[in-house]
Amino acid sequence: MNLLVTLITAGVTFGTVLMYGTLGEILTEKSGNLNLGVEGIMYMGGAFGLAGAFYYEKAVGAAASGPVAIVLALLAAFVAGCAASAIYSFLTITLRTNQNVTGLALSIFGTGVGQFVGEFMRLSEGGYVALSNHLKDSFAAAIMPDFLQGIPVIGPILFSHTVFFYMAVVLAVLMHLYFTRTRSGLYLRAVGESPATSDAAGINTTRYKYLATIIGGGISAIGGMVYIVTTAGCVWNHEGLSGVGWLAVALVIFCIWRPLNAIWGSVIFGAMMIMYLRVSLPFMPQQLYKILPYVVTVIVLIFTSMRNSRDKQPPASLGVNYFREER
Amino acid sequence: MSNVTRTPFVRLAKRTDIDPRRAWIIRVASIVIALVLGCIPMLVTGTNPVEAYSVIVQGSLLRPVYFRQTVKIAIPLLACALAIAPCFKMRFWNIGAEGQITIGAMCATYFALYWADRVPHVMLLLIMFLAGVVGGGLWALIPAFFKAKWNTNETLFTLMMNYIAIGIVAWLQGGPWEGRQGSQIIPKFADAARLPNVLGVHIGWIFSLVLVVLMYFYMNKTKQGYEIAVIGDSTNTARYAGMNVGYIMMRTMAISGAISGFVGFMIVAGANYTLYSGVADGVGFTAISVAWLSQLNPFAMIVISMLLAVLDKGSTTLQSRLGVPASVSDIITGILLFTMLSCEFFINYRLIFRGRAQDKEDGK
Amino acid sequence: MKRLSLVLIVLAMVSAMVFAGGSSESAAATGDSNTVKVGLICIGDENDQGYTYNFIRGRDEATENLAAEGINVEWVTIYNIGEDSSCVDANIEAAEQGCQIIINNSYGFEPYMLEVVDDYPEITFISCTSYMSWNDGRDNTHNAFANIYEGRYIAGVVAGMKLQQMIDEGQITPEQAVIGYVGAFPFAEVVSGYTSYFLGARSVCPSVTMKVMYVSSWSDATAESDAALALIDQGCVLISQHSDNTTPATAAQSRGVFHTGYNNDMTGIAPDASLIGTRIDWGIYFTEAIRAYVNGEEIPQDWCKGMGEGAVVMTPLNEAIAAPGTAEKIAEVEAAIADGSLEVFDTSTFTVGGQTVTTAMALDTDGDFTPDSVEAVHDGAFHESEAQSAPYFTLRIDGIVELN
Repeated sequence: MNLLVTLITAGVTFGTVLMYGTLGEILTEKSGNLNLGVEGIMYMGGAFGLAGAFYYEKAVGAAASGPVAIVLALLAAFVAGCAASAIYSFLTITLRTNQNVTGLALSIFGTGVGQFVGEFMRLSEGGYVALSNHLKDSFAAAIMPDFLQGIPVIGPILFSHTVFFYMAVVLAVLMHLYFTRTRSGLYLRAVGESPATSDAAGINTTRYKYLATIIGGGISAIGGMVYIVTTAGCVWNHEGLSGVGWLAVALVIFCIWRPLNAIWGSVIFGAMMIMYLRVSLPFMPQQLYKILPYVVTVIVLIFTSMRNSRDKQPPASLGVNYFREER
Repeated sequence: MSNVTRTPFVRLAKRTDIDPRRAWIIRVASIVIALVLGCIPMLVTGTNPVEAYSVIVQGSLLRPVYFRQTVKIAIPLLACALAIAPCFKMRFWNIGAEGQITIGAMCATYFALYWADRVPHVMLLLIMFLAGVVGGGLWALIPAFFKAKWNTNETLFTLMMNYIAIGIVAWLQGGPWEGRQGSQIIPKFADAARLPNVLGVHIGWIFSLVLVVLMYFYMNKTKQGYEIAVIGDSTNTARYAGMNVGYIMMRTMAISGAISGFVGFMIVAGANYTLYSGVADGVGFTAISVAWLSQLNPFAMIVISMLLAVLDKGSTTLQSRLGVPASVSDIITGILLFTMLSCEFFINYRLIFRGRAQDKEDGK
Repeated sequence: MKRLSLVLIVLAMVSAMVFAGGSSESAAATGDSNTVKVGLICIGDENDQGYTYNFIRGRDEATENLAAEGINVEWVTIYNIGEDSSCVDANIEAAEQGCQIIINNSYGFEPYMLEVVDDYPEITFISCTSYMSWNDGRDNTHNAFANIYEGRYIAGVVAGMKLQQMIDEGQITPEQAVIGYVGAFPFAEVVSGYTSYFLGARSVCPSVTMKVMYVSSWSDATAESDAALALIDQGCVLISQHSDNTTPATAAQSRGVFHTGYNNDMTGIAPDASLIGTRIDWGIYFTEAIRAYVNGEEIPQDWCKGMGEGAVVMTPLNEAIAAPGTAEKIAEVEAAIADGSLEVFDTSTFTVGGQTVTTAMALDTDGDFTPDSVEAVHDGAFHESEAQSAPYFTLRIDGIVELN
């Protein structure tokens, strides 16, 4: 039991990073756009998020306030992610380029930009980029009151996390409500299922695709920032984010495109990535634990396609561009 | 931003035939724009872009040793783009070349490690080649089978398969095939398991060029190539024409995976002389861009893969000589891909602006 | 095919730019004999605040030392190179830039470095922390390492004193004195490191035991942090590490347990947790090697020095939280190690499977990765880094449990 509690608690740390990446990509994919650039977007979010907090602290010195730094880091990451996915949106929606290729190009580009910004900060600061302990603490602080954290079992699982976790949960719930309870969310899903039909029904497909993809990119980017300011200890880590974006793409499938599933799905994925440190199974070599999330995802993918139930599928037009004049 | 299709200022018309010279100008312009945009990160670091580009070219082409390194980078890109071409022609989005390379490399490595003292040089290389090809082909067959049978989304499936392949090699690297205990390093291959060099670069460059011709022939002159093209246009048409779409998909993927596996064999036997989890090093992803930008034309792939290799190799020199972070190469590559992808739009569509629309249409 | 000619045009344009900008190139030529160009190929960059950062410090220190002697060092530092064929490219790059000495900073670089060395026989190649270059029959390949186990022993002493203080003050029972050690791989360098650390701790805190957890990576911030947390969850009250990031220190700080570091002073980021750290001072070696090169002397094929020569140093002690008397004890142990009166791997201080060790081989000569030559145990101690600079202590001693 204790093992399970600690495993879940630890899974949340890395899971939070994935949850942002995944929620953003779910929003994107609901509009029918398969943005494979999440890896690059998260790199950019990480670099710009750190830069936001770092230059803020540099500007105001010791007076830097934690909440302001958090907001600035969030904003910087979000804007960077929006900018990156705006490129993707413009190319795929307006210029009708192939989504897969454009997404991969964005991966390359975003990774390059992220690492460039990270290295540029290091070079221009003459060696080392890190936030002060004071800001680090505010990023890593558990925000729930002590008496809640002190509850056995439930305390550590539910109440011992950073502000970013709770924000992600709220975001997931909001997205769920948006998709299921609002007209606009319904339209968005319609666009993802069949752009031609929704276009004929008078929905502005282009606008929905643009907004969903750009905002989705911004959300994904926050995940990169959260990784840098929590797990990586507020230090730019050249290879630290590599693979995280792809894991987020996998998680989207694992959650079968539902935001609420992302909450527990991300914790499971997060736990799987570090399970080799906590649970050693005699027949299972350490390195193979790390492919578990992908194996599980493949199985989910196969089963959903085999059962072919209508509500567990990818959005029908996923990955396919919509050309109005060709309908 | 969304005005292109919506506002009355401009509307689109598909061009049926474009003056080849015009298409040319657009493509050149796209590359020039990319190079101009690429100046931004250099200016940020306070580097003169002209100097930076000249260092990139010097560091990739203008010394024999640099040129050889550049070719070494281009070989797997080219061969892997060839592997991807038939799949993409069929509109089967195989983004699993990364994993297929890894598995091919892994299978070849088994024989390099354990058969090196048993069979003669050429024989060993032949066995490694076959192992790589079969391994890559079988690995690619898995998602193809599910696509054919249950229409499982191949983009996502092949993507996941990459990381599974990489994970398996990571395990071998730290487990059964590890050299010094705890080192995570698989020993270097014996000389018998290494590809010979021709003109200073491993012989893979000759194989890849031969493969270009073969692939051109396969895609354009054979019945199988024709079937692939028909499926790419419409699976329904293919079905009405009596083609076994599922079978053709699996066959094409097996061929694609086999070539990727061959790439893996070339990388371990020609360049690295050992195996590690990052053996594919993004080649499988970058090659997708190479294939697509070449519009699946095998000959154009030679040029595109060299262009990306120049950027990649040149940036190493750029970093060590001018202190510009090597990630600049990724940025420029990304921008180049963006602009070259976009330029096809301006080749395929005509923008008709309000007011001038009428006479333009008359004139055409 | 259209595109072929298209790109040719672009290449022509670009080459025109090359020739336009090409004139600036020749300025870098090095003429005078007191200037030496040295390449340093790094697996990371200073942002790791650990492994590579420590090399960069060594680089800067050597530059300063040598400048005082009138030797001017021009560095070509190449960052973020992987342990793969890009390392070959990096070595070629450094060679083509005219480097006279090329230093590879990571263990896994060596096999790739050795692919290049025969093409540049006039260049001196150095592989730090590795073991194949010194006896490969070539004159231009070298290894170097330092007796970091001495520093770890002292860090262990500091940790042990803290634990003993906690026992004496009744904060923990003697059985609760458990150290958690975050290791990268079950690799000789790591095993040697944590064993010396443990022996240091046990020399002042007899009841101490240790748990080791491997993260399967030299540098994985997430895994290192979580391994530390997992160890703390299993009752460890003090964390040490052999991995590249500072996240174990952060984890210790966040959970209110103590920590000792490696490669760098981590008291800055974990002021309430980190007691001390130890690191190799690469400046000593770089200075010696480059000076020898300039003077036309031989650079030792396999260089290894220890605390006595200043090649291994302790980072500043965190006096605010260390046990009283620690500084004096450090000085005493340092002196004992320096004058040889204290052997770190004294065979009377540890057992393997309940038995005292009487024999262990140091080197592998037949290529099966099992040591088979050069007796390491003599005169009552296991002599680490005597047969070669790279560590070869791989015994698993009693009192230490490997968790995975």
